Amino acid sequence: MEKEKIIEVKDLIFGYEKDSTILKCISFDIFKGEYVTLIGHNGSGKSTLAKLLSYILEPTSGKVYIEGQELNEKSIKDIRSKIGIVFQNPDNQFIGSTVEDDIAFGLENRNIKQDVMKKTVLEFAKKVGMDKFLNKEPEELSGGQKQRVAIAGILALNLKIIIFDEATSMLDPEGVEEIRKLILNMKEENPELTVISITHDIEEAYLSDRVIILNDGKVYKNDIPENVFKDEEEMRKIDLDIPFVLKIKNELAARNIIIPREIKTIEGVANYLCQ
Amino acid sequence: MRSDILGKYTPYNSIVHRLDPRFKFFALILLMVIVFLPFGNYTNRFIVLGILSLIIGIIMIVGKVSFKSFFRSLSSLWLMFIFLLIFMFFIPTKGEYPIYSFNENYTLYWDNLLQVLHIIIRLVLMIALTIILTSTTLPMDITYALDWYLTPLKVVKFPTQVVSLTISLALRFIPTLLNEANRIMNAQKSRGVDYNRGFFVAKIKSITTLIIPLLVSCFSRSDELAIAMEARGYDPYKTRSRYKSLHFTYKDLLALLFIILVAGLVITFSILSSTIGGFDDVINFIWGIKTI
Ligand SMILES: Nc1ncnc2c1ncn2[C@@H]1O[C@H](COP(=O)(O)OP(=O)(O)O)[C@@H](O)[C@H]1O
Ligand SMILES: [Mg+2]
Repeated sequence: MEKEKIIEVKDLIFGYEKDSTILKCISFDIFKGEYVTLIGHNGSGKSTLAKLLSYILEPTSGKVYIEGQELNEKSIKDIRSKIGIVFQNPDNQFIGSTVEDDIAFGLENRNIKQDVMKKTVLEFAKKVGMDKFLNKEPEELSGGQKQRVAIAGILALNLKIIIFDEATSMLDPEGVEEIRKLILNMKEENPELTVISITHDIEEAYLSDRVIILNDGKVYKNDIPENVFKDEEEMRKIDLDIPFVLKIKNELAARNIIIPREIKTIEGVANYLCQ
Repeated sequence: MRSDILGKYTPYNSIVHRLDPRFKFFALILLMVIVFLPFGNYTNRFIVLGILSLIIGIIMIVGKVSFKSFFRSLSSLWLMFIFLLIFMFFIPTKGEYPIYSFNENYTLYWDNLLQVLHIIIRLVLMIALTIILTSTTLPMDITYALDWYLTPLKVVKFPTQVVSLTISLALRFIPTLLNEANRIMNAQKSRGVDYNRGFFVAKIKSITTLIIPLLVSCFSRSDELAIAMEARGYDPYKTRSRYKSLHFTYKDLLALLFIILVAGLVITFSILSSTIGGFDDVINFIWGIKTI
């Protein structure tokens, strides 16, 4: 089956100021239903790229296509109905004064009728497990709960692409786990949904379909996780670590114990060894 | 720092909670005005204020307003009350009932004390009214009410939705920023800044260590907020639908009639007392009309 391109980035160049470019000629494709992680050290331009993909920023040169449609001033409304971003800071993206108001914000912007809106808000609050908290104010919620509300607000818009820009980096370990599970559930429920996750979490990247590494304003790697993290030395050079499971696998491989590629968790490795 | 200085919404389901915020907003303004009307002599004033206090007190009980947070709000005003009490010694008055004659040039009259008491009661009533509104009405609903009152301005292309959204965002971020201020203060304290000691210059210096980081974070927050809003399709020039709508029911109508009745009586009394005189005279006047 031929995979359908949903995002196409072509020779993208961008700088906040004229004389300094942060993204130097970036090109990649993302396919429908893929779960791609985007990694790279702080300041490598990941958030900038996310903003370019939803046309919050305008490229200096180069093009971005979403479902074949070029991003520009005219297509902005269409784009916003296809792509959404969950940001890093749970507080600064909580717009409504209560959970339900916040989930409704995007729907209000689309001028959706009130009775439809009520149903939609409840439906998606349920999906992220926040239906018991509809009247709660942000101050009464944990970071993970606020992020779940943000995700509900975006899911409610029925988008095709969701970008998570370090959505778990300000959460406690439980919050991280909550959101990770939620993303996986989301993908399971709607395989058509394309997810781009910007993250520092190498373990998460290892579980995704594909990893894109940004380094020095360029796409440094763009491949399946096994290939990307193959060379530990190379990763070290750009200040990145490799997944813990992979380290164990490498150590085992050095002792002539080869673990199959499909096994991606510590438990899996342990079970395999016990067989 | 506390975030409930002027009342925080308490999620009960009392009749006061369920009333239309537009009505509550109107009643608040009306009652505030009434409290400040002139009523002639002190007997008149205290009788009217007494009745109003009773009504407001009953509303507070019905609306399950926390008296604890009410008194806490008052406690932030005690300095002002003390100031007023001291001030009273310096207001020259010619009263009828002296408390104490210091010398032949200076006598303290009961009138001074009554005047200060009068001011204090009115302030307390105003605070009580504000707390009733804020603790029984969600900030968002207050904004909706405000938005409704601004609607006529749409005719002159005044961006009412933008204004009400801005206000609701400001209200939404007050607790967040107070938390942040607390965090910054703790961080600075651990670096040796003392917010409690020192006089004017030292105080200002220590406050700067709070204000500057707070401002910086405020700007970066508003920047991120604007981006988040844009990403979710916000456009200030487009019509947006509303998730919540306000309903004016017969209960609101009854409450409105009641408030207007009270206000009407008080206003009439105020006019009568300014043209006729003391409470006794007003009563006699009304009695006189009846017997005629
Ligand atoms: N609004 C802005 N104006 C100017 N420079 C910015 C702005 N936002 C980010 N930058 C700069 O762009 C670079 C990339 O930032 P960013 O995309 O946030 O990186 P990442 O998300 O990978 O950490 C950084 O050097 C940062 O200082
Ligand atoms: Mg970033």
